[in-house]
Amino acid sequence: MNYPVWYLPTIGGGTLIALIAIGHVFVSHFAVGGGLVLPLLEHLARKRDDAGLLAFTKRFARFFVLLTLVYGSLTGVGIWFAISLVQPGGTSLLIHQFVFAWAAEWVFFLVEIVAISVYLYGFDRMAPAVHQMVGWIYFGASWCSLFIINGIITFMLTAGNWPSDGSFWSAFFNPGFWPSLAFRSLVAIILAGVFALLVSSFNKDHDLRRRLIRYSCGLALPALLIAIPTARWYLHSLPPAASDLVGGASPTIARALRWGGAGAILLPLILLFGLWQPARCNRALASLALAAALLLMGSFEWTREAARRPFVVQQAIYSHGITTDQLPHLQQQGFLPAARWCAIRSVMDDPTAAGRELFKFQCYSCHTLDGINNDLRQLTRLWSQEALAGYLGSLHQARYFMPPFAGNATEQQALAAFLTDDLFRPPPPQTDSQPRVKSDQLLFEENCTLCHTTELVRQSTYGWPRTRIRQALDNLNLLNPAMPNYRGTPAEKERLADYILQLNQPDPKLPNKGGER
Amino acid sequence: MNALIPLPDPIPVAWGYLFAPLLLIFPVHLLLMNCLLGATAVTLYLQRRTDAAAVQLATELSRALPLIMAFTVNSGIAVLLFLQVLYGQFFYTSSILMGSYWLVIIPLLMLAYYALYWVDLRYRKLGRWRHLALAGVLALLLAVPFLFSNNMTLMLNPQRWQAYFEHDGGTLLNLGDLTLWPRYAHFVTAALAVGGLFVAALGHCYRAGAAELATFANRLGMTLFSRLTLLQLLIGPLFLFSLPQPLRWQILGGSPLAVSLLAASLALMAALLVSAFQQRLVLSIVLLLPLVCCMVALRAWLRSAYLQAHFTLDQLQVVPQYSPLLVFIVVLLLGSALISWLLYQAAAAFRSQT
Repeated sequence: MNYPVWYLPTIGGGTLIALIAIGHVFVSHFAVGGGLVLPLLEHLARKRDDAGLLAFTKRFARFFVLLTLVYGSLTGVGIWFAISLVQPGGTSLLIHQFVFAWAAEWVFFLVEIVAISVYLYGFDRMAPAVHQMVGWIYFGASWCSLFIINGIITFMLTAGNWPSDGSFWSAFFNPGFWPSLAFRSLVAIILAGVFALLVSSFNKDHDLRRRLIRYSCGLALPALLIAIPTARWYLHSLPPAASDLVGGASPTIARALRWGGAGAILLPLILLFGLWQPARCNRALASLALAAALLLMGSFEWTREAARRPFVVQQAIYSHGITTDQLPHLQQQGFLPAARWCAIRSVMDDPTAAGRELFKFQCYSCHTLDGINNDLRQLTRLWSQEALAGYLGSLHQARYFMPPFAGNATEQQALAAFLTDDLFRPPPPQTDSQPRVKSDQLLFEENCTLCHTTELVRQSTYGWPRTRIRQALDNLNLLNPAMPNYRGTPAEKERLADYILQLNQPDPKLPNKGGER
Repeated sequence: MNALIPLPDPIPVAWGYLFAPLLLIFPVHLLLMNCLLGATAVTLYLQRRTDAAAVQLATELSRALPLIMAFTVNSGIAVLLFLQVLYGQFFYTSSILMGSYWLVIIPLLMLAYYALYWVDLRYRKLGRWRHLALAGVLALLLAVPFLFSNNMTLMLNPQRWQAYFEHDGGTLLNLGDLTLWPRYAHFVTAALAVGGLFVAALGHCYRAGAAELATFANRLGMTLFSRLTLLQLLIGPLFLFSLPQPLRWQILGGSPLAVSLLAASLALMAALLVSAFQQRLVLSIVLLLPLVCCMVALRAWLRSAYLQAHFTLDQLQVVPQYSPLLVFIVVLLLGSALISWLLYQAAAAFRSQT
């Protein structure tokens, strides 16, 4: 709310970041691992006086420069541009908190550029020992870059003591730092092996290709095996809430992990095959290994990003850019009067425009409108205005990974009216002495129909006795780890059980809106 | 105070420690960017020539261009980093207002970078495609500073930010700003001129082994440099007179610092013109370096003068943490030593080859 929002409702800022980031993380890890492979291959070639292997190393160095120095470095700048457009508050915090870490990383990047350029252009010109030293300097500088970026990225997920002491060192050497560094270093080696496998598969010299495929698989496979315990170590470093999300409470993460699992099964199989039958490991198989590695890497990064929710920086800034300090005031006094860049100051001035502004500033960071990614219009199309407004009030409690709605009851209602394309109806006045009693139908809509159609609930509970429905409401996440437990009162659970039971009666009372999804 | 200006984040050290690297690295970035743009234009021009010296010069330039691009991008990162730390509340806002154009800079740069490698690695095989590739790169490299000029002027004018409420899709440019076009013309002309000087300097490196190439490059480069620098005598005042009157008056007499910087720049410019028309390469380079530093300092003064009513750097809250600065200095020294060693080894290897 401190900054304006670059508003592309059908595309979404998150999509843009993901498009740039997926390619970048893949190539940037290769930029580190490849730096290890180049001097190793050169050392081997010179030790065995193998001209073919040396020629391959030179070709691989050129491929490496074209991919990492151009695509890798510019997508790195691209991520920086994109996050500052989509999450300016979070980016500003990271830039200000870590300015000298970024500056040190810039120095290492400069060393990388000089070293890899000297390595490539000096291939046949420099003394072998000096040339290999240049390669090692490149590797050292690129690993130091990883060391620094790793500190900043892990801070966002595991901020450690930083929220209380504000220290740079607490933020940098946070609980996730070392496990993530170990894991990412191994991923860098895996990717170097996989890229080397791909480039090797294009080699026309059969004998050399066979040897190269063996080297590549022999490098990647052990790294992959060692990466498994480091991944578990990383998982253990997560805060409990993030750990729950990874454990199944987030459907997005569960989906990403399924894809990653496919990659994790496929990749070692191909690498094993490459070791066993290098002559039969062709370009298609090498490309498949690359695709499997991309799935694995993409799944890991997606999971890490998704596990950070509802924060951009743990315990400091929520996904919608509002800080934890600002939240109580906004919930009491309202968001619109306080937001610097809102076009409208009060819901009553223009409820539809207010709803649009509230969507833009509080939902758009993760959701689109009529777009392809996480379309909120689609997600809420079965909801009534009242049910959605009620749900917005307990958003974070119902689904931990969603940030709390930062506004008052009237603003909740305006956002709900906007999303349901309905005429704004002011919320009924609340009095402390007589809390509003929600209808059974509203209870059902607020708690069930965000994820399920009425028909699905009816079919799933077909034939269930009332006692079973009631018991299920006590432990919803035993039915599915992604289902949040119902947080209402026992009396509300009783009413909800009755309502669900009657869905399978001959003449059920159905919600106003509903249908198949 | 404009209500739209976001609140800045605190900084970890006194602002001078962040301002100094900005002032030191920006001239380096500017010179590299100038070499890139100017040398690309010269390489494109040389495609029309068939004489041996021109062909050889074009080949040498095409080899250098991807490397210059790499260092231009790298130095630009450092400049943007320190700019964001000091003026983030203005810079992020203007970037968001023109977000759709701002993000396009990345694919533009990537296309240009790959095209330069394409020309370098396939120089002979490309034939006529070289013209097209280099023309494309030049067009891309001219578009990027135009977008930068838009952002850098938009961030200085918070009163223009109101337009966001009509256009929130990141499609705002600062085309209505009178200073935009003279500023852009000033930068591009300087870039082409310095590119000429770079061509002459590159030729100078070959004076022992290829005298004809060196003579040709020196004549072409210094002619380009001298004439375009002369043209700045027209564009510079145009830029100055496009500035808002209060700022113009300060530069012309109101602010001692601005007046000193302008006077030093004009004196260096006059000396540079004489040396350029005399085709004295080394003296021109020696004079250019302090001139660029003076221009950068004047530009920094202008930025703070623009924002004076809204913000001054001493308003930034400092939450002191100096140890990361010390680590950065150690890394910088170590990095400088490594780069020096690498360049020394590269120079030794290339010398022994020739």
